[in-house]
Amino acid sequence: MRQDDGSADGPAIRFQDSLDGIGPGLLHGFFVGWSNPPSPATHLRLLKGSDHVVLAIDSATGQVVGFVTAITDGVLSAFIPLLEVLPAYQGQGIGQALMQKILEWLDHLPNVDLMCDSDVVPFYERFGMLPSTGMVIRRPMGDSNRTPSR
Amino acid sequence: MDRTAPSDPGTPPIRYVESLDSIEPAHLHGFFAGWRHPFAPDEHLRMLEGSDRVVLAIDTETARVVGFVAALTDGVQGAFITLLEVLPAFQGQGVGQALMTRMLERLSDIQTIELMCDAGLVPFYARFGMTPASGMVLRRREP
Repeated sequence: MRQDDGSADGPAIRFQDSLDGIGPGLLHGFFVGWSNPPSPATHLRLLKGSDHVVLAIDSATGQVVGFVTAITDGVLSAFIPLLEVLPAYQGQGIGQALMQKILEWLDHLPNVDLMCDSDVVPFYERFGMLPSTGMVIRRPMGDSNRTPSR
Repeated sequence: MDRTAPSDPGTPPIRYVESLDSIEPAHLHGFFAGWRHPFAPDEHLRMLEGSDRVVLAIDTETARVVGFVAALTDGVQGAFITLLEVLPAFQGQGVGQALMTRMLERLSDIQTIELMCDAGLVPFYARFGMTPASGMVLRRREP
């Protein structure tokens, strides 16, 4: 039996750092567990509003199966608001590849921060990140209403 | 007496602006207190220019910036407040609270607003409805 590198086990994945050719129809199944998940159209808007994105795409279907976003001032700080891989594609190193690729985009910046649950601390420690503390405020997002509620 | 009282004469008049119009590096001195490698004023201005939303507190007598808050956002879902600082001589007068209140108003169209802070600042941010959360940081230059 030949020992393969593992990439042959799963579907072929390609990575891209632009939104070329990406429409809402290719963005389904994300925001697992969110009580008020953004629609695919809103998802595309937040991708477009980010400074850097990396997408993981199933080469066979063209569907986006993972993504990571970053926002930055270009001088001091970057923040990674979202990193997600569709459940059916987890456990294949896609999240790690997305994180490596976005950090390459940010490698000139002194500070890169993100918020996460404690169970994924070991994942982010692999990239040299250290646990820290912060504050968060979350407000419901209605896709039908972009205007501030007050 | 039902007349509006004049503002406290001991407090220098501060105005708040949400743009960088007419702000020059010379207006940005004294920040990054306690940082080992503080940003130069021109770098500070570039950082503000690269931010998506800023609020500045300006001493109307000197036109100097005495406090600022900066945020990044994707314009839809996520926002991150990178820095909030008030010059030591202007602390204790509510300038930080006013900056934060205005920034949260500027981000009222964004679902999730996050920031990193030391534990000592949790009560300050809790006043705005924020709750403690955990995160990760990558530091590639000593602060």
